[in-house]
Amino acid sequence: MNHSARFVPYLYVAPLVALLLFVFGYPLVRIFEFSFKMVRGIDGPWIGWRNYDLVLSQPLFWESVQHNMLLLVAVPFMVGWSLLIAVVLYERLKGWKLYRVVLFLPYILAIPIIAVIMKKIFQFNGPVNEVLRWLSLDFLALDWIGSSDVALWTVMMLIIWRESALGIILFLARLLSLDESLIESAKPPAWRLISESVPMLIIWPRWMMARRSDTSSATLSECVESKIAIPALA
Amino acid sequence: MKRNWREGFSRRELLKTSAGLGAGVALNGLLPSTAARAAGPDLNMWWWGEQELPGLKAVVDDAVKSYTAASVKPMLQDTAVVISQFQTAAAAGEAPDIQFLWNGIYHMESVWLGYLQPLEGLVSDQVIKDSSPTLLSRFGGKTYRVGWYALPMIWIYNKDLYDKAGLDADKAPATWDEFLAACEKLKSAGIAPLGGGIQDGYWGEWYFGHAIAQNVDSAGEVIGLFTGERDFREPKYHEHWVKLEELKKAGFLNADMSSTELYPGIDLIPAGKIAAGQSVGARVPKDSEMTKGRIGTMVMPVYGKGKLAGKPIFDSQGLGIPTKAKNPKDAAAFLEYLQSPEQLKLLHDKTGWIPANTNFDLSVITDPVVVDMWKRWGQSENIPYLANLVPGQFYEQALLPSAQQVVEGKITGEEAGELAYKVAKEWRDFNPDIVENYKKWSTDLGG
Repeated sequence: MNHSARFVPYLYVAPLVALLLFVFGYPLVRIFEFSFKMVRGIDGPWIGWRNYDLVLSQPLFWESVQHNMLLLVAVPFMVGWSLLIAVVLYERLKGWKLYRVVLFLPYILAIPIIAVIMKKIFQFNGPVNEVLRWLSLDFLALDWIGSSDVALWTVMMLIIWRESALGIILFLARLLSLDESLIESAKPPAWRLISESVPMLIIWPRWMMARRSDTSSATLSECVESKIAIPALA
Repeated sequence: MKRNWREGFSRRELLKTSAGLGAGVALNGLLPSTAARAAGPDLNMWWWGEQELPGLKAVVDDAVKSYTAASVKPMLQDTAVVISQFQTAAAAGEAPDIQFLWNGIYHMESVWLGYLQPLEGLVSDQVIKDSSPTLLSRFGGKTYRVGWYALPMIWIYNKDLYDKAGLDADKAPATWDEFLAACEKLKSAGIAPLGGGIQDGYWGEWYFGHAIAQNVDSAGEVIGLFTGERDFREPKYHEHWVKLEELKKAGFLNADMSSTELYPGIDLIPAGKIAAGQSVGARVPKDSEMTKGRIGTMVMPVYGKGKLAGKPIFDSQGLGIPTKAKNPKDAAAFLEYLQSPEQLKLLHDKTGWIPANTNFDLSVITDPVVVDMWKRWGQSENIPYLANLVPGQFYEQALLPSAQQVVEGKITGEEAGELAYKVAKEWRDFNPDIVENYKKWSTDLGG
């Protein structure tokens, strides 16, 4: 490959890079520049750090930061929740395909649509509270989106509900692509002890009876692992 | 050879066809539309309003089509860019000839930046006066807007619910004591006496617009609250929030107010779920029709001692002429054309609503509720909508949250006054140049 050929790929992407820089980069630079100006119309005099001083001295700004930090709590919860649901689905409990669709549905709904619907649902006199009142759970009929004490948690709950959907599908896809033996060996020893000893405890009395009546020569472990029928009780 | 279209286009043909179509479209865009073609000069008109008054686009299209003295090219603006798009164009010397303008501070900043020119000398004085641009369009003794369509700010009440509570539905409470007595009766009858929706905050803006008038003698006095000559901590300047707190504590506001938005909240009144609340005139025809005439209009009951207390509030949307308009005289002539009797009638026919002009022929309106409202708000002595004086920073950080928090029971009315004072002071300290303009504006507003 000659020297100039090395630059050819860069030439191919150059127009797009230039476009992106113009569309996104230039406004970002201008906004940053504006942040040091007192904007009057579309421009204004240079005022240094005063805009930053004003914003940083606002309790409202710090409240917003605090709220954003609180919303971050949703992230680890979301990951844990997604993994848990993915494992449950992986175990293929009855109707798991339907559950998978239901759980993924929120992710394909547009955020504005979710916002409009949830605003209706979580109104003080909306369907959620109507159901709670009907169940005589009036104390749980909160002002979900109208009270500043509750609204943030409602929003967090909705974020978890919507965004977990993608997590569930990603975890599930990965689990399904793995060899089952890997998953089995990855199970913690305590889990294995429980999962192996419980069936033994159930089968043990039957096995004993079969041995005494001389109808089976299989060991207890063979009975559990290969589900060999115990003739005495068959 | 007969062409078999099922074979599809070759890539070369596709490119050729696309280029041809593109050139055609581009050429069409460059040439003036035949519909808007007229003998006179070209006028650019940037307007807004279809979003709040459906049918206005048909009004503009018809007016442009029938106007022969100039070729008017209208462009409907998006709500989010009405001000910024105009200011950017004006700064670049590319302003339109006619610009839509919201009232008060929403166009006054453009006046102070030198982007708008006074209409005196361009538009006839009589047309300006008849079009009801309101006092808030004046600065330095000049007017910067011609009114276009009316925005009466009103309170409405459901007459059926008043009847149900044993009240006189044909006589709305005029004083605060009468109002509280009515609220008590309504509450006893199991009816939410007052309210709406404040989740998005705008109810708080409207409330301020109605209630701040109770204790002031002029619009200029309100300006003093921002320039520092007056103080929100004085009881009379935050009494409205104290009254709101009292209404909340008495259980007179609907329980779902904090989780309901402004317009769905207004819907609850004609729907018979709340007895009374704030609204705008443009909704009255529909609400009256829905309730078969059982919607009443009223001003906010009076508790204050200011000269503006108890007077109907009238606002209007308007149009102005930018300083760097290429054809200001032709633009002025078109603005006058929009105020002609046939154009006023056209606006009513297409939108079902009332133009801002006091000469509008009321005989075309058949609903007595609407006629009564227009006579009281549009044709009687009225006052401007004082919430349009509020600086943007104050609007975001004090005006909306204070009412929301009072309704939620988070702060008292007095604390709302403290918050308003603090935010007004911050704004003042940060914007000394605008404060100077506010002081000058105050003289136009009777300060």
